[in-house]
Amino acid sequence: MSKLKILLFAVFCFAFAANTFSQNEISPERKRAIDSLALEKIRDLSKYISIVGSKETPFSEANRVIERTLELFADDAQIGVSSLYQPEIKYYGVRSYLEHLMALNYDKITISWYNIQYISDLELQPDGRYVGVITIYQRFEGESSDGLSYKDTTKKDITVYVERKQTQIGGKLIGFWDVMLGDVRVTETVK
Amino acid sequence: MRKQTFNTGIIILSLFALLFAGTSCKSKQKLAAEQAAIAYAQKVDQAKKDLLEIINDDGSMTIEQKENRLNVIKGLNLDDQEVQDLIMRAEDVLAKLRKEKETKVVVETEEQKLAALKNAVLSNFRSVASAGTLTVANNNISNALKLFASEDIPVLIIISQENGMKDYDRPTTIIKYLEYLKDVKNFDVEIENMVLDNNRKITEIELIKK
Repeated sequence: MSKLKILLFAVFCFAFAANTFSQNEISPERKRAIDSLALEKIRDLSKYISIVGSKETPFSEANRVIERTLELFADDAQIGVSSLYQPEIKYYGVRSYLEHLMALNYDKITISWYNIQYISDLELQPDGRYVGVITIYQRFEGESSDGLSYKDTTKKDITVYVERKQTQIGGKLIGFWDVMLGDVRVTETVK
Repeated sequence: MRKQTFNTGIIILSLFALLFAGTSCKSKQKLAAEQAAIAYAQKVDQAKKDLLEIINDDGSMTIEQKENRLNVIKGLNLDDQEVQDLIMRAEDVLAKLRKEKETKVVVETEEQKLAALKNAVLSNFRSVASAGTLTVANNNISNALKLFASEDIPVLIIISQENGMKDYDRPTTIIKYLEYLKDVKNFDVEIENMVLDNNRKITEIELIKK
């Protein structure tokens, strides 16, 4: 009798989960729209990192952009930092990473991202969120006035979470896709 | 005796002539009256036709042309109940047409104003995104903000639409959106909808990805 109850409960749970899963399925066009949205957030992040890193950016502007950057990330997200001279990859919280970047001891810093693409498509998870991984290549060039320079290219994988949310604006219920970036993991560092 | 007979003849002849002349004058008056009556009846008929044309016209005449024809008919002062009724109907039709015209002008003007405002907003957005320096970008942001009721008005960005259902990006505010344009230096949206307050300042804006 007890086994039968457990079996029935399991069937009920499975049916509920399957129903929830199918309700969250979206059309290919809407899916394409959220794929593009997530890629756009990564491109925005690349611009923000470039602005924060640039020595030409005034302090107040850099701080403002840090706040905008933080809005892109999930609260506990971390960003990996690597170096050609150290095998260890260090992980920092997003604010800490950006403040380190702003304080780097170079006179000129250029950061650019390229080859931004999905390596793992956004897939619907049982909790209703879409999760995917986008890879980017980052070219970092730092130069000091005394002639010292450091350059590397890092491949990074960024986990992306997309979740359907609702909010009330002007008395109307608005359904929106909230893109949150997760950890930025360094997978390769070359000259 | 002969002379007396002659005089009597003249008198009788004169009486006949007088009688004949009187009869002839009466028939001329009658004829004139008949002609006048016919002319009046024709005027009434024409007035009725003209009035019905004014009432039933489907756009071949301008309002001004109709007004002119009506004024001419009213100037005839025709004492005919049917004409008077038609004049009243024609006046009602004209009043309605004038009101419709005024409403159309107001709507067109409002649409033109809204289109001009949309262009101004888009132009400001573009100028922020394409600013060459930080100072220029910040000045352009200040100019753009003048079109909005406050820095915190909501900005909704549609990323897709399907069967009347809209998917949005995370809602933001106009100040954050303008700063975003300054940072990413890219502008790729159209205005889908705007809500204005009584001062013609934007209180809500909905953008759509191109």
